[in-house]
Amino acid sequence: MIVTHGVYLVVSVVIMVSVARSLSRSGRVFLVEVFGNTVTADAANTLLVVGFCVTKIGYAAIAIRWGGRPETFTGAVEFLAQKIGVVLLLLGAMHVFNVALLCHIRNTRASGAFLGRISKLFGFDAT
Amino acid sequence: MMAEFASIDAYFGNQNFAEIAQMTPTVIVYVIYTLICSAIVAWVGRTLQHSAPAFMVNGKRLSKDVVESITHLLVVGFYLIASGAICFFLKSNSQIAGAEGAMEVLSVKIGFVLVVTGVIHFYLVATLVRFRNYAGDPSVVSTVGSNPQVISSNDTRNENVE
Repeated sequence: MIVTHGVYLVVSVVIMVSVARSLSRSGRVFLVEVFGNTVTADAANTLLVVGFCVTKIGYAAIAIRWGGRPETFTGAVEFLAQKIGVVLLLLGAMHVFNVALLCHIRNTRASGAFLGRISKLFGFDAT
Repeated sequence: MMAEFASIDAYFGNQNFAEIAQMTPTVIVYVIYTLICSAIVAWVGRTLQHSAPAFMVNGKRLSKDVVESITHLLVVGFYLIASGAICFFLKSNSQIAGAEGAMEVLSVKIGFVLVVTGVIHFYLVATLVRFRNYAGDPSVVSTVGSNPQVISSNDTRNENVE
């Protein structure tokens, strides 16, 4: 039991760190394209990486109890695969959502429509 | 209960891995399933990585760096969801009896993963088309690269052949 939990946590964290590093490295150019300057892009990059890591560590920690207790090797393999599969699917969904949102920001940057909607939502003056 | 997981020594102390791993038909099916599905996903991912840039440069507004960046982001998303689906569909509830049963189980599982991969693939192709259309929108001005219009589809295609 302790072995499966250990493997689950280590694999989750390794996947998360490698994905976050890869995305922050290759996504920087895209963020510069989205925000129009490198200062905002680097700030957004850091914020995205931190948000990514915090969310995923939190999820992995909460989800450690779900899925029963395997008693055989086959059961342990199934248990690990399903839990890591959910972690991967959530990472992918979060990533796709982020890219879609950034695309939206990029395409509405010229008109300022997105910033206007956000400022209305959070009640600050964008101008 | 929990005989194999009583301690780490009990788990790793035995020299005979086959004894610990209990290579039952179920585990063998899992191994074959993982290998086949990984090969399929790697193949689709590589295809995507090679042909996605040519899709996006038609608008001629995105620079080569941005196209590469977007391609990488999309491909990472594809790999994440596809490998998540592989792991998630690994578990089989049916008892596997004989080679016939193993083939049935394998076929159904690989079919599931293929359908998921296909759906993501179509979604990604639709996304690429949208990128190309947005890139052609005159109200959006690219900010990366000294001359965003330097690339043509021929250039990118040549550079992506390795």
